[in-house]
Amino acid sequence: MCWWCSEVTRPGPIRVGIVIAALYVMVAAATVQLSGRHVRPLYDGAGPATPYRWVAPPPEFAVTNAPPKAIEALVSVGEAGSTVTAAGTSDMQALVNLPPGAIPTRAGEDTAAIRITAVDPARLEALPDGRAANGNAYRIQVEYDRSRHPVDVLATEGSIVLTIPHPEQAGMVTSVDGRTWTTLDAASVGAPTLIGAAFTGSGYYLATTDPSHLASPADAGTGGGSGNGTGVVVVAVGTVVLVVALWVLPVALRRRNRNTGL
Amino acid sequence: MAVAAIAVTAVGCTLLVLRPALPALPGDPTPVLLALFGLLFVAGVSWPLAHEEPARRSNWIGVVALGVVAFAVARLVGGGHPPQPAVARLIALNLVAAVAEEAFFRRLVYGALAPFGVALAVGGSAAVFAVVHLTTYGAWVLPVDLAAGLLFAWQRRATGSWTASAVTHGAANVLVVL
Repeated sequence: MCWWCSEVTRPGPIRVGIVIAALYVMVAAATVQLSGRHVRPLYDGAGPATPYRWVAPPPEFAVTNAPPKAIEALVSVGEAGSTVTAAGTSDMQALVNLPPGAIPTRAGEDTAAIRITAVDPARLEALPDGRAANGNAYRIQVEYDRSRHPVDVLATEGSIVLTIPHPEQAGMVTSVDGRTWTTLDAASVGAPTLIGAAFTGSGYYLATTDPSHLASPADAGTGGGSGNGTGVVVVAVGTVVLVVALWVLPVALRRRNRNTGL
Repeated sequence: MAVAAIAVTAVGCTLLVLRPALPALPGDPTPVLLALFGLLFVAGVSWPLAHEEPARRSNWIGVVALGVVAFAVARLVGGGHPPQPAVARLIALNLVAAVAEEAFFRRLVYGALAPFGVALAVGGSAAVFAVVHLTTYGAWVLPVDLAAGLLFAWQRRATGSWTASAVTHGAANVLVVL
């Protein structure tokens, strides 16, 4: 009657499944609480992102760099405001999420446009607190499509996610005009190379880092993956050891039991 | 045969562990990723298992539904916004990854460990599945992926087939970007 030890009798497999499913949900909830991050249902998928696309690449990436993508997305605006929207560049370096009603209704308008354009941060004002740009700045314009009237402040704030080339001590700032910066309450979202913050309206959004981290060219430009060289080797060796142990240990235990007459 | 299973599993896992190095390659890493998942899929579905369990179709839908509901609830509990936009390319790659990994972990690894006992097959396949994702996502995701791996392994056990966990895994990977 033991589900775990019998190959033949498996009473109530659905009941066992419910317990395991509940355990999984509890682990996910506990991870949210303990890590202070939003937790994805599963950390899996296609793997690391493509190399970071710079507007003005560091010299070591100048040869292979591809320019970042821009996007213009149209959003329906009805009597209750805009519909729920996720507008992201096709290179996945900038994503804006808007909840329903974020763009308020306006007479004569039934559509709004969200434009996301990468900008060289060196063309903008210096950052506060000695911070350094962590990738491109992104100019995000939200405006009604017909009148081109800008939506400077959303009725309900959304969120913005930026891919960053330097995961360490990342933050985010915003500026209406690229001159005066405001530090946002930003956090890593889902992966070390993604940082998210509240999106309150049109303006410039720029991920930041401590300047000392810009000195490690091994990190820059990858845009994906959390493993440094040593970490990857350690995990690779550990995985192989685990795989071998999974086969070797039970065989060794069986031999020992046989020898001891158990 | 056991040595061959160990070798194939170790090579497949090592390739998955090395994924963070892919962006360092010149050009778009997508073809390399597809080749990697293709290898895992072929190895997973073609590996000769000593004794295949008979598939139990009767509870297949219920098992899949339970898994999908669990991942949907976790998506709601986890909150936040999708880390990447739900573009067709990303969804397709995530689905390919899900099917290939399930063929590899729930058919090959689980099936090769099953002669040593169900507990080892369930726990071992889940542990290896969780560990290979550490380099891509960080150590803090280990509990979530380990618990998810246990859920997939239970689906494999309950249905006698890796297809239930493949469908659930695909749904979970789509939920990530919604």
